[in-house]
Amino acid sequence: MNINAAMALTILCSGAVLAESELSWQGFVAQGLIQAPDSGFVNDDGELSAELTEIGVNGRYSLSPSWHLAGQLVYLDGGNRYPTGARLDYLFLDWAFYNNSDWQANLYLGRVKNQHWLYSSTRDVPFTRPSIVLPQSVYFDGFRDVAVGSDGVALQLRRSAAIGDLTFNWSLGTVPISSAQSRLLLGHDVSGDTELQRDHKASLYWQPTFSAFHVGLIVQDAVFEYQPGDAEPLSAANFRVQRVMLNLRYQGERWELATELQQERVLTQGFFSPQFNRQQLGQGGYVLAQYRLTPDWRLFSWLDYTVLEKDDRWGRQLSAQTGGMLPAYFGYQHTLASGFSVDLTTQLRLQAELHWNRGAARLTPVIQPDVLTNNREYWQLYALQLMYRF
Amino acid sequence: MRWLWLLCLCWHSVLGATVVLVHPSVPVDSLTPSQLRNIFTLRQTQWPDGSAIRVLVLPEQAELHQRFSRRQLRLFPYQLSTLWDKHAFSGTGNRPQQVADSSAMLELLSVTPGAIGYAESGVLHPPLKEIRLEH
Repeated sequence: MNINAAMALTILCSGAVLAESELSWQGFVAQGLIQAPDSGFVNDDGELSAELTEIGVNGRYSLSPSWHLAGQLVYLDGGNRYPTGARLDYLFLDWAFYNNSDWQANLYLGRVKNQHWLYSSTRDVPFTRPSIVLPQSVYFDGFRDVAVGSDGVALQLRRSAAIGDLTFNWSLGTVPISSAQSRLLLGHDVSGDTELQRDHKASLYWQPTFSAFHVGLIVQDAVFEYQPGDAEPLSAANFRVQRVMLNLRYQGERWELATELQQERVLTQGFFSPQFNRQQLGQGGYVLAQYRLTPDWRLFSWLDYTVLEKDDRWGRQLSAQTGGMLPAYFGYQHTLASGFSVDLTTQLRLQAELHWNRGAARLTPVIQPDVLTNNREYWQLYALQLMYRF
Repeated sequence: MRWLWLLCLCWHSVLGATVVLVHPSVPVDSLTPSQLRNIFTLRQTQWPDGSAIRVLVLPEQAELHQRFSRRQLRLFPYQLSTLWDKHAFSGTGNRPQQVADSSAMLELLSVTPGAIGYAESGVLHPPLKEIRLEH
């Protein structure tokens, strides 16, 4: 075998044939067991469930150094957490219209991912998130399909300067809301149509030069409209969600700390009656600590805090407004979660966690809460998941 | 003078220094630490002539990769891996091409236009171009 042939064989064996136009693809399969007795977080009976399935395949085709097409299909089964089934997670055209060592600018067109929060762009990819179930104050599963991305346009500008790296993200779009998603958000029995009229987000991140810290500021404004079905005793409604969030992350050799704090205004007009008008100013956030015992073993713990109304932190007014029909614990949800992950191989990871919860503010449905299923103020969640990537 | 050159080579090896190498077609001779980091974190994806940058890396467990990541990029290897996963699974970039070992790195660098990688300092690597790192 001559030298050239040996070299060619080595390169082929390393799977490293690179062409001008190329398709790269990868995926993941994750299956787990989950149980949340005393709540409807996963299922209505609180029994041990295998409704913890995540399968995804994505690809990115490079048309030229500046133009790329990317897409991902996922199948999710999370029980009551979000609608079960396959969906087109993203499919967009990526135009890197300016790219040099100091400035990078990309325009994304199509179904684009939410790049604004720390874990929003890959919240369904088991290997990329810190816990199986993310802190619900920010990553509310009932809102997953609405928050994960949108059909529209996004812009990313990045600047490397003397003060460090700056990243600005902006996106504008809408999301088709299925009837299943609508029932998760509004109530088990709703049959009308929910439409997200617009979802507008912007974020700015700053990382000082070679610093272990970075900080971000995020704003969001989303407007929903509800048209009731013919036989429904409900009124047409408008919902507006405005969120301001601040996040901070530190990445050390063994320790990684992250926090995202948010304030969220939810305006509801109509729905229960044409005159109904309510404004809630909720607050929430989490503090997450991860510790890498070895390159393969990781421990984590987070503390999550949510109140739907900052002036009614224990839900007493909320309960009083419904004549006591709605227990006060639907006004808040506080969680302590701890767990570990271990990389069994470079492609296989096992993760397990426990959550101790107080309150039901982040249990679906949101507008018409399920008081029969979510009948406990204190409830736990246990989850174990095996993840495979390819 | 030959003994002096050999002494320098040994000294570099003792220190475990790494060099940044590119395919001869790459129109760049030097990089600042910040620019190097932008390339390996997939922020900068094009060379000044508009051609695509193709990043080559060793496996995360490789001692040379760990050293390069910590010393040259000032990032822990898990940070790089996390960033690459974020790009790959959100569709905004491709994970760098991983090669099995240093010899595969040199071989692939030599036949891939636009490629950038790294190697132990002092290892002979014609016809690759060594990038001068500015500080």
